[in-house]
Amino acid sequence: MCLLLSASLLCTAESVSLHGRVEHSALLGVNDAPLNLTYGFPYLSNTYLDLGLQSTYVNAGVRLEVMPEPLPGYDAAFAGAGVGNIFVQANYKWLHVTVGDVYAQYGSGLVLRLYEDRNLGVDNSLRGAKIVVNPCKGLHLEAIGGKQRVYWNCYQSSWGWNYGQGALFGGNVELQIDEWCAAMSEHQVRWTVGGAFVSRYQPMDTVYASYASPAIYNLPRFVGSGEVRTRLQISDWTLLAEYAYKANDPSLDNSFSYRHGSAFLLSAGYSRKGLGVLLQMKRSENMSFRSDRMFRGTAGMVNYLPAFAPTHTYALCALYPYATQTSGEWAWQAEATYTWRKNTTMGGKYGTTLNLNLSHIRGTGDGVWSVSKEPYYTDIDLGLKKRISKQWWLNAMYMYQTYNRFRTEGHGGLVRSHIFVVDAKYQPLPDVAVRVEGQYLYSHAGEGQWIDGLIELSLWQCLMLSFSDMYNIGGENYYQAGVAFRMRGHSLQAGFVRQREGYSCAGGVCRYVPAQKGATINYTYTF
Amino acid sequence: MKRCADILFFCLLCFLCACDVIGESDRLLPVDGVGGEASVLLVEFTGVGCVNCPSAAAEAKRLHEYYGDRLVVVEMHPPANPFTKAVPEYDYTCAAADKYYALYGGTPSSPLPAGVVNGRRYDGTYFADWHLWGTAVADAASRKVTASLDVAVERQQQDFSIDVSIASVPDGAMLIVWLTEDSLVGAQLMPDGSADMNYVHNHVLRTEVYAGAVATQQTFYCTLSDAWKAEHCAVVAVLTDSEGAVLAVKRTEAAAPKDDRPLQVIVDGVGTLPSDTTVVIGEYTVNPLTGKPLMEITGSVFCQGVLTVVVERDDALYEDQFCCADMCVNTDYESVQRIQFSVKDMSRWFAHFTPEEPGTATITYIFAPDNINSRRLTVEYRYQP
Repeated sequence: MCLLLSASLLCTAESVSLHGRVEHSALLGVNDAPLNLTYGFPYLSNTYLDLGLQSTYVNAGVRLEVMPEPLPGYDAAFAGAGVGNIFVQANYKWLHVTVGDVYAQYGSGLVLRLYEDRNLGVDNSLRGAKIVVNPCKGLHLEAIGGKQRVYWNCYQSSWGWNYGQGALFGGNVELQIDEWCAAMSEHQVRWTVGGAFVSRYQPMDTVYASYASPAIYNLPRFVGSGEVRTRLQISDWTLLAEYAYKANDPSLDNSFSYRHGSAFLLSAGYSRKGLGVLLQMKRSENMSFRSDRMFRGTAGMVNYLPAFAPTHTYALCALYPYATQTSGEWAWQAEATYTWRKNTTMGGKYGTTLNLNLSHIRGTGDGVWSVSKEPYYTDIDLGLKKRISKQWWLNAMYMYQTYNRFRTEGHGGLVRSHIFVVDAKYQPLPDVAVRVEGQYLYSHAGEGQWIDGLIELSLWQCLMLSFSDMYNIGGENYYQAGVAFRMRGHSLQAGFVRQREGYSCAGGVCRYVPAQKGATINYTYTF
Repeated sequence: MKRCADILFFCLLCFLCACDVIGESDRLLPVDGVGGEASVLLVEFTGVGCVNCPSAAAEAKRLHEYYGDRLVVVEMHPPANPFTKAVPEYDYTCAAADKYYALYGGTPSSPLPAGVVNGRRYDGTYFADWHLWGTAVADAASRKVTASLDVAVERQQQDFSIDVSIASVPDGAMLIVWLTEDSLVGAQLMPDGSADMNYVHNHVLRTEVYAGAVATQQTFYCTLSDAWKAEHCAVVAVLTDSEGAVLAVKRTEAAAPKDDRPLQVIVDGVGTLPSDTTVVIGEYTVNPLTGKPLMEITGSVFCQGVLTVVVERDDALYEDQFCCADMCVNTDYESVQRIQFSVKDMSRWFAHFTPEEPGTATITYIFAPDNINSRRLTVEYRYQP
């Protein structure tokens, strides 16, 4: 009905465009005794169909999802099929109203971040409404409300599309101070001040606190969370400060503790051509916020706590990814990038870029400013990118990593690793490129030493062949071979993989991925 | 600008109204005790490598203390979950645990601990977080009793005989019979990451004896593995409906087998003592630690339960020691010593005597399991260097 109404409105619009995307990812499982793999149903797949209409005044969209037997590692309630997302948005001058499934983020996401990440299996949209108002210059207002999506079979609902039991509502205010002050704009000063609040309403659950003298927890029906933030940019300098507070929220995440939560984030950066420096720190405590106090894992997340651990793309660097500890942590990060210009001593003929990152994360202590002696994660990596000649590129990296496996995975101790990466690309012709990658991880703990090799051949800007092997010295061999083809919006990847169990993380949010073996297919078509 | 200020004020007001802060004194609400008479089954999926599982086990224990025999807890270690095999030397897994783990939707990546109460879904899923076991058990315990069963178990060594009787068999009902073992001492990872090597696991599922159709009277037989201690094993019988929801459950320990064998005291080199006996010990060795002479007599004793050993001797001053069932006591300077040992089946014993000077010392050891049966062993230690 919503789509028909939208279509009729669109007929009167000046221009209407239809866009969409089809995505199908599948694994044809092969049993593997050493990895304890037995596939009861061998064909596992996730399929998405996104359709969207855009016009001057009305946008609309729908997404169909089909995953009766989803890819390995997703929550048991993830399986299902149906309309995962549908919305209609009306735009008129300073007013934008969206009805249906909405996404939003306030500031860094400390109180609200509604987003979709298919790799993580996260889609925490709200089914309700969102209103965005820009009533005057420099003022941005937003209000949102609804019930949050939680997979397909969370409560065995006959509707299929399940909600958390709580209802969420909130608002965001942002003031662009420099738009009210001409002098600021003239001196390249941009200053934003903002604030947001989000509240969850959920009826009380019966949770026993004691049995000898029977008593249940008096659970708050309304749980409020608010934040204030400011961002100041002067020429090449940027300063960001953000503070969030959450009132008592006893839940499964914190074993029904009544402690209030808080998060503080401070970031300073300098960026100009050839030089970038970033310094940031964060402290968070008891800031897990969900639309249902009984949820765990990746279900029903309302907010987002950024991890100051960089996301690595090299396989061995990403072997032990860090997951943000919602119970509390201190995090510091310093990053610097410098590029020597071409035709200089250090820069050579084509320029040289050096990147240094230092990240350190620890637990919180008893006091507000105290820091636990227990390290959670350390990442010191130094990377070099250099074009050696017209046809050769070289990347090299050294990384030192400390990973608290007990905190992140629930078992094991501290894993200290030294990782070396060399990545070279040879492009003899514009349409032909070969990339070779070698990695080595040295560690006494965890799974010991690893070596990894990759070779990739790119042809005619539409075809890529690749083979990689990751070997745990003295242990198992994990490999994958694949071919990828792209043409006119179509993308097809097919291959065969034997993959170790591990964690797939993005920005501190992680999903456990079990070991896999089999043929893989990934097809997307964008129009 | 005034409109903008009004909007900002409205937003602030919304925030202030949308938040409940519960004071410290208001955080617990007393409730009435749980009524009903229904028995409840709590299946606790756990693993030796699961750091949160001790907390869940403590919760199960608290629930058991409150509900008593109405609540039957069975601890399952499913081999499909990697946290059950973290310490290979302590393997409490079994195929039956995997069967029910898969039945309730468990996968290798499902988090532990997880509990299933009465084989029913709770909030749409079988697995319940341990914080919610109390609520689920209370709900199950308050239900109406629709069936009951009686179980009698006899054991002879490692052989179990299990009689299950049900007065009225509900339509479509199924019967499950499990064997569990208590007091399994082994490793367990604790919440702080340390390993407790003396952790005690109770109600661990060892095997499934039967799962199938039910009749009013059924008898099952089970031979235990030699690695299981029969005296620590119990039988859990579960009556379910056709969909697996529990109708009744009962845990029964096996009655100890009757043993008519009388007290037996055996002295090495002498044999079984049919009655009071005197033995002469002349040989001695030199104790390498003290350099003093050491005279020893050894043997074994068979009885059930608590054995009392009375040591009587003359007034000579000397040191001696009596040991039985891995426990030793010094018997110095007292003319009569009465010592109690807990003896199961056959136990070894020995007595040491350290003479101070040449001559003969007489010590009498009286083995008495009760006031009626006893054996008197008189030993003459003749020390002649």
